[in-house]
Amino acid sequence: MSRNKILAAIRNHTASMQVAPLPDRLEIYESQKPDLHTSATQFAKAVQAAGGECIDLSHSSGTISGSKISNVEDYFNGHTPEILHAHFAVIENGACWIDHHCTDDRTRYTLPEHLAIFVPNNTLVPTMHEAYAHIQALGIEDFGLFLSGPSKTADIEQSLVLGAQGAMVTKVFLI
Amino acid sequence: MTDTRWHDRALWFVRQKRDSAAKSLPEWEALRRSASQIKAHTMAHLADYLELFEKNATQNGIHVHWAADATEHNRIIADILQSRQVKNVVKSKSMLTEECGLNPYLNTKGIEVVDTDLGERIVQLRHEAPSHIVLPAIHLKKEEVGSLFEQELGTLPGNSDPTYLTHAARKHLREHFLSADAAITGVNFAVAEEGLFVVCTNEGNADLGTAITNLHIASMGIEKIIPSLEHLGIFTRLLARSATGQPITTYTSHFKRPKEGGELHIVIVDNGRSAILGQTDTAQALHCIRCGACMNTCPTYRRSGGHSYGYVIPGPIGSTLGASRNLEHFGKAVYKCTLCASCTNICPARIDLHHQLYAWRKTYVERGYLSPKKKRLYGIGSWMLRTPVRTRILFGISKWALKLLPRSILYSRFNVWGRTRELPSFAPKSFAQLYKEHIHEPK
Repeated sequence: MSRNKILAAIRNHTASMQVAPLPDRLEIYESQKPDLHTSATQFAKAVQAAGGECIDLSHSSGTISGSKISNVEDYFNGHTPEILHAHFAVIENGACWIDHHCTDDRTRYTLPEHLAIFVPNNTLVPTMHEAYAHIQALGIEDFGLFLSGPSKTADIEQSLVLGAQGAMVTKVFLI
Repeated sequence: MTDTRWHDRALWFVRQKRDSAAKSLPEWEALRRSASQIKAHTMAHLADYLELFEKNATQNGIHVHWAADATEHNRIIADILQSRQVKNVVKSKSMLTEECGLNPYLNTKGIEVVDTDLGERIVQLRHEAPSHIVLPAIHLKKEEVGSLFEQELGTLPGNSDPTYLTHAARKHLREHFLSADAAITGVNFAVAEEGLFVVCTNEGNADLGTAITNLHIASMGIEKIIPSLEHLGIFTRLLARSATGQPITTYTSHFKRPKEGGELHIVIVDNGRSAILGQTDTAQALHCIRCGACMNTCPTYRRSGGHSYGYVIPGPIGSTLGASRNLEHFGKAVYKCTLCASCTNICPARIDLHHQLYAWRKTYVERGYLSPKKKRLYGIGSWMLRTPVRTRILFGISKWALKLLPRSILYSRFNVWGRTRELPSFAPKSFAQLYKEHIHEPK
């Protein structure tokens, strides 16, 4: 059976390897100094760099009723976007965490041309380290993804083109 | 390739984006050190972590398969597809399936495979191999893509606007996505403690294929394992920054359980990898996370392109992996290295690439693979460069010869190198001259 053959071959070669300890994660956390006052601005910049747009509605309570924006089409030139509610988002790269709680149908974030992602502004975390600590607490049921900006490619002469296969326009609303 | 400057510049541009992304993080070097430690730890306990991954993935409802080599990998996938009467497959980028020759194998079984990454689709339509692991069509000009799409997808003649061509490919690929019966993906990371795996793309093609079809097969090399979710924090921060200078790929997708009513398979492939673990000098090659940064920075790769390496993975990492696979056949590539060490210095997993390529050269000569002609040439070169006086004489003569000798002599039949290339022109002043001038100059 290939399984046992492969594992035996690996053990045969790794038996004499030095035991290498895993790194102490403190070394990485030490240099992190998240500035919470500017976090929304930093996050918006990261979303923009990823080809998206971030709209901060967290202070304009009038436009939001419950978890819905009254005139979301206005932000998409009249197109109706697919709306997804992300758990949380990452300041350093503009990525939003979406899992089965947000949608059980994975085509909802892949097929539509316009995506509106709602993220509560008090859920922003500085980096991927805090993001994965958060996911460890939340748990992953069957799938989950970090989504940052619209689908993109630079496969033709390194020219960046938005809307390669998935969403053409992605906007993140901080609520 | 006669004019290689645009290729050189395109890749250097990517390298510069990587630099500014890396410099934006004060903890960058700490991240690289951690990545290297995690990989060293995981490799030392690889069998245990693979078993843990298998146990957890199976519990999650993933079917785990093991393939000792490319033939077994292809057979396992063909069996899964055939037993479910699958005829149309969409595949996202996976260098492992390239390595195993999966597409041609499935074609012989009457199964159509469409590569869905734009760059991969371009090279597939041209019936050639990717020339770069992250930028598969970097060797092509947009006009070449334009005329290819005109022929294959019916785009407007003479239109080579990247946005226009990309959106035409989007339409073409959507049809294939919607009519596909199964999706094949690669694996960027497999997390042992969770029994899940991660696929990273910018186009979203892996997500689209797996969202639409109910059968997902993922191929992974044994070295893709990392212990826990916490370690993904380190690797996701390093991968895209090193590859394209982005802080993260657009889609970083975690697959843990099959969809409701769907099936999820993973094929764990050895295909020569366990043997690399036993090579003391070059085992670190298995730490590679396939970002392609070593290619973008390599002065040889930037000028010669990926196809000149002759192995499925080009550049510094491909040269050492190819040498491990079959030194006699792929070993020549290790001589492309100038030993400048730029690859080693930017590798996110801190693989000692140039040391490995140097080590391979020794083995190559020891095993007698170096042709007698080259051996003689290297002998002369080594004698000439051994003392400063001889070196100066050599460069003096070469400079004079290149300037004064007629083309008929310079490009005579003995100049094999010059058959397809122009000899470089000498800089007006040598480095030694410039150094002497500048050292006396007051600052």
